[in-house]
Amino acid sequence: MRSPRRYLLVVVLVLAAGNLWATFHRSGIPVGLTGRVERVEVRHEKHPGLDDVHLVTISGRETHLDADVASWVREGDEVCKRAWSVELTTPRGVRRLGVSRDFGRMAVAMPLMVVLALFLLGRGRGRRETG
Amino acid sequence: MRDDPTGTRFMGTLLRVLAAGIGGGLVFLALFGYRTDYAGHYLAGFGGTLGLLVFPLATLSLSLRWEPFGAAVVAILLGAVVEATVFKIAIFDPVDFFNQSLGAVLAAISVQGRPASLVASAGSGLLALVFLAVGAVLAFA
Repeated sequence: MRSPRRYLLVVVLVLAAGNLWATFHRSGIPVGLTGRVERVEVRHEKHPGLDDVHLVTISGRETHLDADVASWVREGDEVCKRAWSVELTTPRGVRRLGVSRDFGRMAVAMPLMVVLALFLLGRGRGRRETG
Repeated sequence: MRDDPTGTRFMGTLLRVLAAGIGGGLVFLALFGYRTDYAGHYLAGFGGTLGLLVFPLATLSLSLRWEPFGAAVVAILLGAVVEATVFKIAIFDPVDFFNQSLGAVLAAISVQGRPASLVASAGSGLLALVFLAVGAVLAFA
């Protein structure tokens, strides 16, 4: 049977990748945003104004977006953006999408978490597996 | 269970727990000072999972092998349920879930392969309560 250390490391890698994907997804870059904006909703979390959740429904599809991206569209707008394009066409012009501060910092934090896991897994090996 | 007469092994275990808990928490606080809930979720997941590991640390006759991985899986699943129900305020936030799950796995890694010991178990239980309390404060402050 394989060592549990490998499985623990795999889980860390999956979770770190998940964090990067979730924060990148909120930029709207990987998703197509084409159709009529049916709803723009702000839901408050634990810290209103700081960790609000911005949900935009376009042609029946609800997407969680960064606050600035959500602020560019209004209910009733016809918008257009292909998946992986960084240009969002709105009735008020074309807006250029970018990644959020959360994603930028996650891109530093997640590798550091993987390094911490590798350090602890490496330091703990030797004695246990020979003992 | 070993009573660890030299005292060095349980100290090693507790130092690893402290390094993983404080080290991970500091990464989140340093980079996400404007969102302390990220560090809060990490520390809550860390403390909760460490709490689950107190029992195997106290009762096993050898070193921990698959128990930490099992505890991490249980904690991740419990965390998903809690995040989707009790703590679902606006939506099920995948970032909150990933952060608390990272805490769970780092807690498991910190005791992986460590020798079971009553002292390590008691110390880990105390640290689990501290990390849980700090995590709750940071998540809701």
